[in-house]
Amino acid sequence: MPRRTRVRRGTQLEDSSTNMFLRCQIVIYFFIACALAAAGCSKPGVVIYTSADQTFAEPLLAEFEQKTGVVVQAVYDIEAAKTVGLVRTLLEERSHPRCDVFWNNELIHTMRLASAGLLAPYASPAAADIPAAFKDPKSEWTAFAARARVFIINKDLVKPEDYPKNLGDLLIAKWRGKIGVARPLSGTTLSHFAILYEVLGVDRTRDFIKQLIANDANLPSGNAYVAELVAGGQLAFGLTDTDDYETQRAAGKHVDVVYPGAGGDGTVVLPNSVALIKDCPHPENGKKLIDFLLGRDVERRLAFSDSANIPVRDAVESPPHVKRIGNITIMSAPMPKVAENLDARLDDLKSFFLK
Amino acid sequence: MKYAVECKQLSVALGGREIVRGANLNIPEGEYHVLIGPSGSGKTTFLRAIAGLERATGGEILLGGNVVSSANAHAAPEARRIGMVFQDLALWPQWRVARQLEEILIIQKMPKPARARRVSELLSLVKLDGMEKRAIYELSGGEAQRLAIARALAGDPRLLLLDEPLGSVDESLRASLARELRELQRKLQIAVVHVTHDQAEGTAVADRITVMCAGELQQTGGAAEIIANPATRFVAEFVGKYVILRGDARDGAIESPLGIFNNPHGLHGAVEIGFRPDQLTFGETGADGIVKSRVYRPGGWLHEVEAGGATVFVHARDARSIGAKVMIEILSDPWHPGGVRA
Amino acid sequence: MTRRAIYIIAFILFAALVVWPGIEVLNICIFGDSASASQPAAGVLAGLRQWTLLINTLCLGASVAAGATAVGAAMAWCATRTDLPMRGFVSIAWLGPLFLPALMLGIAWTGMVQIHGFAAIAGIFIFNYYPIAAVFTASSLARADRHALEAAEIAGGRRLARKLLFRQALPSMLAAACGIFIFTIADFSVPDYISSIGPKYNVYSDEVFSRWQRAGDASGAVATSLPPLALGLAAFAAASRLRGRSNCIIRGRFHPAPPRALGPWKIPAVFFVWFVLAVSFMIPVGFFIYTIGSPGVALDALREARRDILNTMIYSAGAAVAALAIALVIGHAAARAGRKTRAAIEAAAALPFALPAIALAIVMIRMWNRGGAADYVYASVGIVIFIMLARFYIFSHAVVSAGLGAVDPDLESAAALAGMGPARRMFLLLPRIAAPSLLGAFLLVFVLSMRELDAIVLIPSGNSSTMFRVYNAIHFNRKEFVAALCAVHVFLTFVPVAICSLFARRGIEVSL
Repeated sequence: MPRRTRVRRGTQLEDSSTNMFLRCQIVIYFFIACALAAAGCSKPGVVIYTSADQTFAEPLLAEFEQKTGVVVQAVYDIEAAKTVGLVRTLLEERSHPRCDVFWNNELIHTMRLASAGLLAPYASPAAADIPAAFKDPKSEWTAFAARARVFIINKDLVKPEDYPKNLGDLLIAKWRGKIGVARPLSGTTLSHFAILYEVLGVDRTRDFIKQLIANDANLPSGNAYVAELVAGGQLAFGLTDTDDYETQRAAGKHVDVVYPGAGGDGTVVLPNSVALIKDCPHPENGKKLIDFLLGRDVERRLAFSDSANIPVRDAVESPPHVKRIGNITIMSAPMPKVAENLDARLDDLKSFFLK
Repeated sequence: MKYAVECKQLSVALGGREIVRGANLNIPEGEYHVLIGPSGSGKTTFLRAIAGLERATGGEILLGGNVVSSANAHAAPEARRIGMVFQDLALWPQWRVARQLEEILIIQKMPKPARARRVSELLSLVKLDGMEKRAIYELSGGEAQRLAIARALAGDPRLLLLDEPLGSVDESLRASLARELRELQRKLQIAVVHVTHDQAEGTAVADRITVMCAGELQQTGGAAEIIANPATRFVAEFVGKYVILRGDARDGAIESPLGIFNNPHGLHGAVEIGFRPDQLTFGETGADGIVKSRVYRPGGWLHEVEAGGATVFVHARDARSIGAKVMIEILSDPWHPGGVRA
Repeated sequence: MTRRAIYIIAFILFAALVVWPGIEVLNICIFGDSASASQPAAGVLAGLRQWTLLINTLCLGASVAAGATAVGAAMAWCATRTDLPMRGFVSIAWLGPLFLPALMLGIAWTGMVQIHGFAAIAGIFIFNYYPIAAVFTASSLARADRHALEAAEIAGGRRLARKLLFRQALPSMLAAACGIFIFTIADFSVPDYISSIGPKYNVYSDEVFSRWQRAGDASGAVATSLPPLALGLAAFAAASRLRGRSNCIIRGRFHPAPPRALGPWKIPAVFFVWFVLAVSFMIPVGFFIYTIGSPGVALDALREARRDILNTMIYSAGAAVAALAIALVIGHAAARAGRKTRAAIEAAAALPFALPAIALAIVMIRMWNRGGAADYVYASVGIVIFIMLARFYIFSHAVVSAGLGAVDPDLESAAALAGMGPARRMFLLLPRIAAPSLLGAFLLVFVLSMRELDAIVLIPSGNSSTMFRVYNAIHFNRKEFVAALCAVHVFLTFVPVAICSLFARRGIEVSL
């Protein structure tokens, strides 16, 4: 075999760089193997899809992991999609669900999932003391830790006697160009407007929107920006969420809060909601996680956190700057109808706000 | 006489090194002038200085009687009305054949119909009719060459500069292209400066030749004159292909490996004498030698012969075998550079 | 392994991972989507509610492509063709924005000054994408032949020379502009973020997004993206047609053209170049570092987001390796194949890139969200790798096939005659010869995958990534955290490139 030997020798002559390449390849394969191993090892014990803010949710879920030893895989919604993204994903995955628990930072989309038949009933023992108004009659979802739609007011620009009291005050000509509302195309503002459609009726809501635009309302993409603009003095007051108000208050800005409609229509209150997915891969762990999330401790911590959620239970304590649920005049709205009509309302809203 | 180009004491330095030194050269209108010299002799730099691509550091250049380059004046290349063919042709790969010419005419603000006429006229001048739409990489060597010439002529120049224009085509094509060039020049009555390192190419086309070496112009004249009476040893060797031998000059004669010759200039001591291959032949008498190698040339064989410790080249009609013993006969007087000592 | 087996395996992978998503898009568009029983493309386009969105998007794409190409070409011209001081440094420094995703550039500038509206969005994109144009233009300007330029100067002065140079750089500029256009029209996050305050600038990704999000209307969502896709592909075809012509150097030696003296333009040129470098990279990164304040904040952010950071690195590197492996075989086949075959392969590979990232993601979800074995891909980082692979394969392919095309086929023949098998030739000999291009291809896909946000927002397993995390965190006013994460992201994107360029003895080659 003389030819073969020669070839061998020939290749050996160049072996230093050949080896280098072999080594590079080995390194690459090693990385691939590591990645696959990492993907394989971290098999989750429970999968949660949540539109709650990652900053608040992550430590809570880490704590659950520590307490129970169940590995949690969390999928967060992108802020721009505001819950809708995860709802879409859940609908897409309905034939072979991957998710066990859906923790929504509002309620309407959870109700939509319930009516689509994606949720499994689970009456958590931890929710025993949650008022019935915040629980699904069929136990497919449970609500907790609410936010409210409030006015944030710049104390330097608005005198206490001029404080807005209800939504109609957004239309006062005096405040032309100095008021803000997030574009009601997603998130809590969409929910708020969808509720207005049901409470005020379509025509009155449209009139309100037209006048709002005519009054040169500032329309940023999110409630955080409304709060920021008011705190920064670019706006006098605006409609926002309690957590966004709280962020500015905690930062020491000269802002005040008004819960609209006291004695009138009332304040829109939007609780978090949690639900078990039907035919989910890890129902037992899912239930454990729901029990944990609905525990008093979590609601208490959310009340004391930067998001300053309003506990729905009287028994859960809250810091002084968080209003008690009993002291809020809650706007009563036909929530199932709101959920049902949401798509049509969004299309209508788009004709005003998306051009 | 009207001159197309006049160079007066022209010096060109690149990067602090003087590439062309004190060059004096006048080229009359309508002359085909060949600048010949080995690589690195500065002939391309000389040509580029005429084109305005290099600045003169001393002396001046006149084109059609106007100073275009001097130590403190420099006309832009495009203002000189010259055409140039580069060694590697430097065709513009991004443009098709017709476009190469058209772009120049556009710059000259020629209206569109006239442009189209002029393009086809130029193309037929260089026998590229019907190739307007060809891409550059689709052209053969000779076609590319001719296109480069057409492009150089597109701006209606009064002077055409050719930098080794036949360097990139193969030998079989070179002779016919050289002939075409010459015909073209005759037809257009335009002055041409043609740079080459190839003596055969240069003598084939030139009205007059200038020989350049190490940045200096050595000799200018007709081809026959230069070959017969080279001014320097370099010219003798490079253009005339003389073989230079060492001789010993005495009172009436010069002693050399090939025998004893007259000493008309009355030289003394060690001198150089030169023979062209055609001045020597094999005969019945003369110096003894041994054939080392031979190569066929049209009209006979060129033999490399060792004689008396020196190597000479001998032209003969019939081939001698390698290793054969021969006698070298001298047909005419040798050349010797007046008084140059070895 | 025989030569045929290598090709078959590579072609199967290429077809399944790169071409199939593209075909699937067309399939969904033309025949509708079985899963959502919605009307096919024709109906959607005819009844498209938001033509204004589409026009908005195309305006933005065209302005950004033109602006970024102009800035990039000017930068390239200054750095390659003039005596600009420190031009060697400039031609490395302009790569900076590639490590800084457009969204982060937007975050930095909105953090410093009040900017909003169309001009701000276009500005952010222009200053983020100009390096693509700069790199490509510079590489074609560097191939300018001195004699060709001089010939132009003799015949028509500087004007013709400039025209020639422009024509030489044009294919690269067009290719870059087409890439920039595609990147821009696919991006929803920057317009969304920049116009979160003030008048909203709506782009058609919103429409793609909402069609999918609300109604699960995949064919509607994908079909909405057809017109820009067609434009993107047309631009791509034009660019690749032009590319072939200006790269060839006609017979003879190549003489690099010396730089031109800027003369009185020196000060404006220096000012322009440093202004661009500062605005596009130095000031934003400085802003992040300033905002972080103390290293503790950066460490906390690193700790909080460590899983996401690791995941991002894994899928970016994974996609880059996978793209390289396929490109090595397919790119080689393309480099040795005839013109038509090459063009066909390139078109097939370009399709998933020309597609808006969101539409690609939707198609990928449809392909892999099937339960069973497909879940191993869908529920893991695998689907993210596949998306990045499909989206950015064309970059790997172009660079690798250009690199391999420059390898003399005789070298392979000689190796074959010496007894080297096809696998050894393909995976040992060629990579060694074309190492700079392979390295370039790897890094290019790695960097692009690191930057990508649009392709992964819809994918549950893509949520664990730094880009996603940053995008979410900016809405919650966590300025220090965002700044720290941005700085870490830029750093981690940069490090592999820096390491490679330090240890690559023969350099990194990214020319097309």
